[in-house]
Amino acid sequence: MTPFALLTARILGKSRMDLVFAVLVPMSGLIGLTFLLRDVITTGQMNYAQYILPAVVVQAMLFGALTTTDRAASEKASGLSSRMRTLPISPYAPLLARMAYCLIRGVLALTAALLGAYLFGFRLNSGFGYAAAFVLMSLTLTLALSLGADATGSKAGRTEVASQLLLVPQLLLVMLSTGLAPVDAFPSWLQTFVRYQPISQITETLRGFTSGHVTAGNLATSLAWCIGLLVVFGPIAVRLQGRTS
Amino acid sequence: MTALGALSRRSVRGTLRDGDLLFAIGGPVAFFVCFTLTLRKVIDTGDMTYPQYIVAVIVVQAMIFTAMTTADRAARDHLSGMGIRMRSLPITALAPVTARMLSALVRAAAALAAALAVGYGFGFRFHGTVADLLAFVGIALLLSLALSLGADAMGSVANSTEAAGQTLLIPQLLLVMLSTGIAPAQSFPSWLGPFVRNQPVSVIAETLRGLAMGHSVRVGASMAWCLGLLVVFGTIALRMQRRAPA
Repeated sequence: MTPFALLTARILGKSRMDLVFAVLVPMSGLIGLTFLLRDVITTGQMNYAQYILPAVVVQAMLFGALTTTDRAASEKASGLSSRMRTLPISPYAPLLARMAYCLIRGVLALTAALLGAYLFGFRLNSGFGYAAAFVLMSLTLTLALSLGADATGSKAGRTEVASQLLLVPQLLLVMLSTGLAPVDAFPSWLQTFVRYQPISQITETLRGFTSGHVTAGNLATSLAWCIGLLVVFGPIAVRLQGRTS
Repeated sequence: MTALGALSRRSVRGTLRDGDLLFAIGGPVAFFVCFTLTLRKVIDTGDMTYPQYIVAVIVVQAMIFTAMTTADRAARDHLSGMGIRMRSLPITALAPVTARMLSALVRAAAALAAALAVGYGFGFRFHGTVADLLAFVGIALLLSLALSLGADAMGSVANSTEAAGQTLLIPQLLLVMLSTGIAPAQSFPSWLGPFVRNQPVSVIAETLRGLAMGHSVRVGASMAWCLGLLVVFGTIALRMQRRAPA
């Protein structure tokens, strides 16, 4: 078994509870938001479960990134990162293992969100190509956010501080987005921010994939955000992993 | 300095050092801003402004978050072997848990102050008497203490710090969202109404909202919930603390 596979299996073994939460958090978020808001927020022809699913998916990916921060910080704090550097393995194997785990977690969260939404009337009517694009964009976002979170955790090195740093901005970005409500539900002075911030752009694209209507400009913006985050956070995470203590 | 004094100082210092206090203040502020800006145009709260309506549930949620941090702290003490080391010292078995509770109350007080301050900025006003204000603060802190004791017990048996805090996340998420704290009961499907109306977050949020307006609303029910949780979780937490290490 390769070091990468061993390290991934180790994380999976230690994170069973986290995988349970990967399933339960999007489901409970979906249940709570749907019952709370489906009768008060107008989403036109689209039912509310159909409307909100992308926001629940993005929220689940962001929540996964928070747990990645904790994992990277605890590996550094426990001295595991330093011990790994003394072994005859690639210095990037631990990072790759953590990212593989994040993708597995992301797939679980995505599946749970889709199943939960299906019970509330969500349907993916847009065909295989759009469905594949939906999954691919969700997982690209997961990977990008997880790399950033991993870098934050590796740098912080203190599990207590690490994930709390990211919780408040994540909360603000998700709630002040078109993920939960159309832009006209917000005060007029805030609408420009709400419309153009990354979570809104990505949720609009994901929503487009579920309905089969995606505007080129919106798709380009979302791809730019996902790939941009990947390009920025990837090298930082890799550099931190390769750096000696 | 007494053992309790030393442990309390350690706990409060940890809260300051690790950013827990910052999170205790930032959490309710962020939630208040998000809920108010997103929902005040779409949720009908009658004559009451939405900031006036929602402050109560922001306070309740802040108290739950305080408990989640307490679970994390207890888990860290447990996993680092601190609990076992404490048992070998000539101090009361209750000193560590009491110190963590004092630290939790410091965080809860800061969170409560932050929630009221941000609410005030958005138009929330306290119309009750001084007695109503004291009851408001008392119920909020009593809830925080009760939940923190339960969280402490959970953290003391957790096998990872992440699991300790996360375990409380899902019940918190569902209880806050499916409550009359964010929207009146008529916003929910009729079959869900009885649950939404009578679950603890709704009951306590309605009491706090009433006290802010100078009325007594379901005070008995709120006190029953708070004291009931305090007795149940307190007993469990103390039993966990006295139990010999494995």
